[in-house]
Amino acid sequence: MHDWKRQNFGVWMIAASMVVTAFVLVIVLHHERDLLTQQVRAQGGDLSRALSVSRISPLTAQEQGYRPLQALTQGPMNPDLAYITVRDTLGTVHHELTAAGVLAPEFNLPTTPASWVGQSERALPSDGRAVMEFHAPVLRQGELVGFIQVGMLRPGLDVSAGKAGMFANIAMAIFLLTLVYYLLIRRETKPLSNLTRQLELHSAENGFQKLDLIASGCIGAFVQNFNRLAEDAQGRMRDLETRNEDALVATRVLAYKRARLESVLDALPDAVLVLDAEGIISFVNAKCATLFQSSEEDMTGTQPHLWCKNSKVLGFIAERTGNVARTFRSDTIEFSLVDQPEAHLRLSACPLRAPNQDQHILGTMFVFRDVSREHVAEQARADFVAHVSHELKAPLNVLAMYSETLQDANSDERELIVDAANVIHDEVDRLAGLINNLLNMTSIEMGTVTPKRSRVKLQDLISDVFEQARRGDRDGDLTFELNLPRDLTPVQLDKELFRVALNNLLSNAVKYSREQGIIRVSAVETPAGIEISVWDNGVGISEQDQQRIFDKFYRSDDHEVRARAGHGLGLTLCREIVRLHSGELRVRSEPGKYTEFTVSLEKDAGLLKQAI
Amino acid sequence: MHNVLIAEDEAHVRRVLRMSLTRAGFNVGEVPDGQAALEAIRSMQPDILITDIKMPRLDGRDLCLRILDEFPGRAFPIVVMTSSVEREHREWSHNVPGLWFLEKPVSPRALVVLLNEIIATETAGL
Repeated sequence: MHDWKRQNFGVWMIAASMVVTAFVLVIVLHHERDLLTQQVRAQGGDLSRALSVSRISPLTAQEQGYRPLQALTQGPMNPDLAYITVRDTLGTVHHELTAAGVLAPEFNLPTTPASWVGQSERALPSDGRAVMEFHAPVLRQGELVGFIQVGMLRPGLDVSAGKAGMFANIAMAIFLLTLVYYLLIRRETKPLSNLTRQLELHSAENGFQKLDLIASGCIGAFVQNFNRLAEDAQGRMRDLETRNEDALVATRVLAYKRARLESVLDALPDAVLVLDAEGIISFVNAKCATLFQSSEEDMTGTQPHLWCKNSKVLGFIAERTGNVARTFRSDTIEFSLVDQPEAHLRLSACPLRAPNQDQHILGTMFVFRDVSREHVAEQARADFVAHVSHELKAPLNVLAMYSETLQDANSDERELIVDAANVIHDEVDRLAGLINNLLNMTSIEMGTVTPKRSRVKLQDLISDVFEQARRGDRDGDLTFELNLPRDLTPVQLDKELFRVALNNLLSNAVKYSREQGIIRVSAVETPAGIEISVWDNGVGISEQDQQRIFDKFYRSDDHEVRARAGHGLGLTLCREIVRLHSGELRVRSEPGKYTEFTVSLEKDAGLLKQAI
Repeated sequence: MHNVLIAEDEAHVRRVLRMSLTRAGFNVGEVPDGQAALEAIRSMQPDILITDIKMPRLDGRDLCLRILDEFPGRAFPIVVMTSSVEREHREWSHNVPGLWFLEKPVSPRALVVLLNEIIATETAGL
C-alpha cells in the first residue's frame, strides 16, 4: 500500500509537472500571439497610413502599378500581409496586392469623413481566416480620391518546430523543478516512513520504546515529544505492573490466610455455624456440614430451619439472631440428636460485633460441641454416687438394726447377744472393706497410685493370703488346697495392692462356694510369665454374667449371688490392680460346677521394671 | 398369734427382724424375694405382710400390684420398707389400700410399734 502510494505520488508529480508545463506553454504562446497581433496591427495601421499619404499618381488605367505597392512586391512580402487594395471612391479596385491564394474581400465604403480611417475585423472569403483590416483615405490636394484597404492576417498560436527547442527547455526546467521538489519532499518525509516502520515494530513488541531517530524541524520536535511521552508511558506501565504484582501478591496472601483460617476452622473438633444479622447462614465449617448431613456449599446462604429440625435448637438460634441478638440470656443449651439419642451436644452462641463498633452486630456464631463423653461421665458419676450411697447404706442399716436389738436384749439372751455382736462385727468389716475398695479403685483410676514395687517372692505372698482366707472360713466345711512350686522367680510387684487383689479373689471363692466346697490355689511358671489360679467348685458364673462381672457395682441377678452380700467392686478392683502390673485377669466358669480366676503376670514386664 | 410374712433379700435384715418380731410374739415367716412371697401368700395368706422394695425376681412395688390383682378382697395390710429415695416415687401406692410405709433404716422397735398399731386399727375398723 505504501509503495503504491509512493508510486502514485511520483505519477501525480509527473502529471502535475506536465500540466504546468503545458499551461506555461499555452500562456507563452498566447502571449506571443498577442504581441504579434499588436505588432501586426501596428504594421497594418502604419502601412495603410503610409500608403495613404504617399504620392500616388492620378488613378489612371494606364498607370502601371502602384509604386508603393510595387515597392512592396519587390521585397519579400510580410507574411502577415493578406492583401492591400487601392480603390477609388466607388470602391473599384485600381491596384491590388494579395498573398498567394487570397482574395481581397469587399470593401465597405466609409460614409463619413470620420470613418475614412478605420479598422475592422474581416474574414477572408476564400478560407475564412481572420483578418485585421485597416483602411485609410487617398487624398489629392485635400480631396478624397480613393481608399486604401490593408488586410493583415490575425496571428494564431504559432506551434512550429522552431519553438520545439524552447518548449523542450521550458518543459525540462519545469520537470527538473518538480523532480527537485519531489526529492526534497521525499527527503523530508523519509524520516516519517522510518518512524512509521519503528512504530509498527513497537506495537508488535508490546513495548513503549523510544523512537530512534535524529531529525530536525517538526519531525524532530515530534520525535522528542513522542519519546518523552513514551518515557512517561513506560514509567506508568512499570508503576501499574508493580501495583498489579503487589495486588496479586496481596490477593494470594489473602487467599492463603483465608485458606489457612478455613482449615483451622475445619480442624476444630466443634461444629461452627455463623449466621449474619438477618439470620442467613454465612459460614459453616466442615464439622458443621457433617453434623447436618449436608455440604458447605449447600448450606451457605440458606436458612437454618432447612437443615435443623430440632425445635429447641431453632428456638435458641432464633432468640439470638437479628435485632434480638443484642440481649443474650443464657448462652448454652444441651440437646441430643433424634437419631442418636446417646449423642449429646452443647450449643453455645456468641455475638459477632463489628470491630471498633460495639453496637453493630454483624451476626452470631453458634458452636456445637460434642459433650457425649462428658454427659456419660456425668451419668457415670451420678450412678457411682448413687451406688456408693446405696452400698454404704446397706451395712449401716444392718448395724442400726442389730445395735438396736442389742440395746433391747436382756442380759440372759446370750445367744441373741452373741449373734448380734457377730453380725455387727461382720458388717463393720464389710463396710471397711467396701470403703477400702472404693478408695483403692478411685486412686488407681485417677492415676494417683504409683505402685510401690519391690521384689516379691510370690509363693510367700500367695501362702499368706491363702492362710488368711482359710482362717476366715468360720463354718469350717470348706477344703483348702495350695499348689505352689518350690521356687518362683521373684517379680516386681506392689505387695500390698497385689495382696488386696488376691484377697478379693479368695474371699469371692469362699463366699460363692457351696457346702463342702473345695478351694484350690495354684501358681505355675512358664517361660513367658507366672500364672496364679484360684479355683472353686461353687455357684459358678453364667456366660452373660462373665461379660459383666468386672463392671463397677455389677452383681448378678442370680438368686444364689443375691443371697450373698456383696457390693460389686471386688473384681473391678482386682482387674485394675492386675492391669497396673501389666498383667491380665481372666475367668472361666460353668454355672453350678466350677469357677476359675487366672492372673497372668509377664515376667519380662516385671524384670524390665526391675531394670528401670 | 398373728402371722407375719417378711419379704427381704438381705439375710441379716431378715434375721434381725425375725428375731425382733418373734420376741414381740409374732409368728414369722420369711422369703428372700417378691416371687417367693407371692407363692407363700397363695398357699396361706398372712395377717400382715412386711416387704422391702428392692428385691430380685419381683420387687416390692410389683408384688403389691400383683397382690391387688390376684387378691382383690385381701384382708391383710402391707408394710413397705422404703428408703428416702423411693419415697419420691410413691405414686403407685395411692391405688393400693391397706398400705403402710416405714422408712429405712428400719428400727425393729418401730416396726413392732407399727404392727401393733395396725392391728389395733384393724380390729377397731372392723
